Amino acid sequence: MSRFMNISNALPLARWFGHRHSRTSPLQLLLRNRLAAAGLIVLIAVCILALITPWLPLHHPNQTALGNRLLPPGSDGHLLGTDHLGRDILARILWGTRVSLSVGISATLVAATVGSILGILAGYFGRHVDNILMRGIDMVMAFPYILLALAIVAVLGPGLLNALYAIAIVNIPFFARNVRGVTVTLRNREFVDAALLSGKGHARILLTEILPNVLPVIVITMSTTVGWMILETAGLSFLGLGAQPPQADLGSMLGEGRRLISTAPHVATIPGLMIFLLVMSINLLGDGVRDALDPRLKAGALRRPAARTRTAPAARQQPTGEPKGLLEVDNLRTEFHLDGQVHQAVNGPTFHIEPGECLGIIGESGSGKSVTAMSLLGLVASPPGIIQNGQVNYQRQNLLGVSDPVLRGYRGGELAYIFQDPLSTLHPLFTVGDQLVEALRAHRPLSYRAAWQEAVRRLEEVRMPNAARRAKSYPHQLSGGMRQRVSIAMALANDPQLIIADEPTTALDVTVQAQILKLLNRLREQKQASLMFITHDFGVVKQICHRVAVMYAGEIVEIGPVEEILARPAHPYTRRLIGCVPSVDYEGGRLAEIPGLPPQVSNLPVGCKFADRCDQVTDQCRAAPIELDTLNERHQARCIFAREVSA
Amino acid sequence: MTMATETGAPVDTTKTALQVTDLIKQFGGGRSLLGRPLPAVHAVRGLSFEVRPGEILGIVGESGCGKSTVARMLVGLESPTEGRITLREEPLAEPGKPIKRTVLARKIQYVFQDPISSLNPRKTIREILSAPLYYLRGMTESQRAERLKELMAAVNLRPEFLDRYPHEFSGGQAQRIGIARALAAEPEVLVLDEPVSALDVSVQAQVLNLLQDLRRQFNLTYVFISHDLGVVRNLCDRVAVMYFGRIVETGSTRALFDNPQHHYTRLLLDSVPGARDGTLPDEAANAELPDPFHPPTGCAFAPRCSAASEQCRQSDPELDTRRQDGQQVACYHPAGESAD
Ligand SMILES: Nc1ncnc2c1ncn2[C@@H]1O[C@H](COP(=O)(O)OP(=O)(O)OP(=O)(O)O)[C@@H](O)[C@H]1O
Ligand code: SF4
Ligand code: SF4
Ligand SMILES: [Mg+2]
Repeated sequence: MSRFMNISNALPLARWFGHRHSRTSPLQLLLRNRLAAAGLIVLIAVCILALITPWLPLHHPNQTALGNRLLPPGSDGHLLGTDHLGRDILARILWGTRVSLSVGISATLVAATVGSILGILAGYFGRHVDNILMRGIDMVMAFPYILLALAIVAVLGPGLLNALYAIAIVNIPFFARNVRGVTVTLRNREFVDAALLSGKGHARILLTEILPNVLPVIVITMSTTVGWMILETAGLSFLGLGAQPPQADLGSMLGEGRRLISTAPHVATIPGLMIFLLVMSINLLGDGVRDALDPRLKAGALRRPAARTRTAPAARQQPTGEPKGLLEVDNLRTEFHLDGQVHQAVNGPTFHIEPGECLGIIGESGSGKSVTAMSLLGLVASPPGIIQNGQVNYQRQNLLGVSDPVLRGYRGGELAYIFQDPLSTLHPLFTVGDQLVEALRAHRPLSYRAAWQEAVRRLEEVRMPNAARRAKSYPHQLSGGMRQRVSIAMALANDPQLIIADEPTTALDVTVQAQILKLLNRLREQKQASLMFITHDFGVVKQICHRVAVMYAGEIVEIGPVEEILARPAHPYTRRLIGCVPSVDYEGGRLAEIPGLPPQVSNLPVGCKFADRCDQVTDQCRAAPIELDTLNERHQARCIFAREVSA
Repeated sequence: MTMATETGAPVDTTKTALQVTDLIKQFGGGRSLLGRPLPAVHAVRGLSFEVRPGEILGIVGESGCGKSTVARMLVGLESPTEGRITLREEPLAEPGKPIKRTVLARKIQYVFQDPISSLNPRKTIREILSAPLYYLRGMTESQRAERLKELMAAVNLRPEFLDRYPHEFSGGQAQRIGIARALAAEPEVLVLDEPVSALDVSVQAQVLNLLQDLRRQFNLTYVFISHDLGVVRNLCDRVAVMYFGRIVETGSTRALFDNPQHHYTRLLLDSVPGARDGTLPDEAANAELPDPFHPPTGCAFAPRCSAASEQCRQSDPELDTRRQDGQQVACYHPAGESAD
């Protein structure tokens, strides 16, 4: 039910709303939605009719004519017939719609204003303000709302205005809760602190910083509740607590017609249809508004991504010769198709990993390191990801072309991943021991007890202090370093041949990072496994990697032994990247920065992708793609001057 | 006396710009609505330091050690539970007194860690940068227009960018806007809380160089918070190492990096991958911080320290002046002593 929708974490919404230059405006999105557009048309028609009612040539809605009682629709002079007092139903329905609409909209405005003020104040000031306001709101919500509305009208006395108040009051909590949720998230954003430090007071921050970001949420909540409020007002009038005779509103007309349902069904049916039309059109429009303002809430938007990256036939061919090393990646190309644009994230890296080797992949954010790693086992989300070309050869098979069950068998088995954020791989509701048991039993037939013992042993192996007790902990009870130990234990559970570690220490403190690096290195040696280690830190590469591949704009620009590359980088990008890292061992004076930014992967240059930032660039660099140049058997670089530089 | 520092900018060593005395911050505590006592987190547990005019003081330490809390107290976003902060002998924050935020904001400004999150997505850069000019400096429309151009030039951004929205900028550009906003208030002191940790190294170098240039150009004093020891070594004149809400060692950057005295400082430096002699410290069983709800009575580092004695577990060592050049260490058995 849409009215109970909670949009408290609508942060991307706020961000989305800031995109004034986005390609499609919310209005365009709304009109593209057929149902919403139909709702809008019906609603506009009803509203126009209601607005011009006083000027239409109609009977007086309250004029009784007992001689003309219960005329059927189509009678002379009474298009929709008359009711039990001979009043013209057409006139009454139009006047009644006017009343119902204005009461419903007024109640919405009152509820929205009061609820939003309460929600913003509670969310912004927090603590005691929040406590008191939200406890009050909870108390209101503890009653079934129609009962509460009835109680309020009972206290205030029947009448349209009192019905309006009652409906507004029972709807305040919906606004207060939604708005409070968004405000809390916004309050924790640093721009609020920044505004305080710019000299703005709290009132001004609420009005100029918070409110504009909350407004879309208020609009969404309004558009999805106004229909309900009209229905609730009609309900009160139906029970005789709203509009008082002889005044007509849709609810009271329905109530009066109910007694005549067998003798003159049209008296009840016509207001019923009108209510249906009105509420239906408003709700369709409301859902459309919601979808346009916050696409994440759209029905069906929570589509699960495919279990495996979409792969073009060109990338599914089986290898012909003997693959190099343990795992060989050849000309891998992964793209993202978004909004009619093609983002070429991975542009043909070719490399292999020897058994027992640690290969580092280094590059700045957006250079394609993670997408490369995730493409190996089809873990890139599809849509929007698609692997267009290339081979990932392991045991004489191209992993991009094997069947789903075969691939699943490798994942978490012989080929394992460790991610930067262990919380993304650990399930919050199971103990770490149980999750290890699950990982073990997915690949081996083990009893629960045996698997549990094995899990504890694995935790000891990663030097988890007090492993037997910690196995019963939930992920949130562990520190960041301990969680990363758990995800390493999970990755190692089935004695993998290759561990793909994607920045596993980036989120950790330096002393914890040192321990995890030592741990990974020891396990790699003990188990004779290979390690593919993704990082943006040359220190880490120097510490644990044998060879390193430097990535830039989705390409490998240089690959070779770590000592050789650190001592004699052949590619200008590698050289300058090393140069701009400040060292703890000496003061370097002014840092050597690289001017500019990497190119956008949706619009890559033809020639060298580093050309715009390179101080050695010539016309030849931009003319055609630069090939990897082999400097020696193990060292290659993608620069036309590579030989001269490294010499 | 004015002397050139390691980073080449003039520092007046006879004066004090910012002085922090016995600063304490607890979160929570007090009583619930029903009168039950609430647990308190001891985030900052008695901290004193001073920053000289024109100096860059680095504060290093691991997550949760209280660095950000100190930074937020310096700019008035939090008020201290106990202790004093003074700028040129003028009190800025004292317990129990309300924070005069606009007075403070004209003297000390803040640069945030997350450049994107610190810019309101629905405001143009012009609106964001105009706020401090209007509210703190009371500038007229034409004065503001002039100043906005100067600010954009100072942080190497094109003036056309003024009418764009934050999402149109890269992290490095957004951080320059954050720096421009801090400069707009014409402060004496900038507190920078991990200003480059969200940036890529090539962009990080651009921003660090910019910070160096701005300091000379506008005679600024920096408090620079970071967990990246390489960045601190290359930028800062002096360094304070924090562990669990306290300063455990402070001194000139060179002295501290070349001759670390506290065992925690040593551990930090040895843990940097690919540096020093290239071997990392052993995989210790216990690398956890103590429980901030129940701080230990003795040295907070004792559970991880190989030199810990009974004395260390009984009472917490105070910062001691060890050497003439002002290096101070809070340790009963400093690492450098036997080696000297
Ligand atoms: N508003 C708060 N309420 C309760 N506890 C807090 C609050 N802010 C900080 N703390 C606690 O205070 C301690 C110090 O936090 P602080 O944010 O200053 O650490 P930090 O060194 O800046 O960490 P990081 O590098 O992760 O930002 C931590 O134990 C933290 O959980
Ligand atoms: S190919 Fe040309 S532009 Fe590219 S890195 Fe080499 S010298 Fe620079
Ligand atoms: S005081 Fe004791 S426990 Fe603390 S660092 Fe010094 S030697 Fe170690
Ligand atoms: Mg912090």
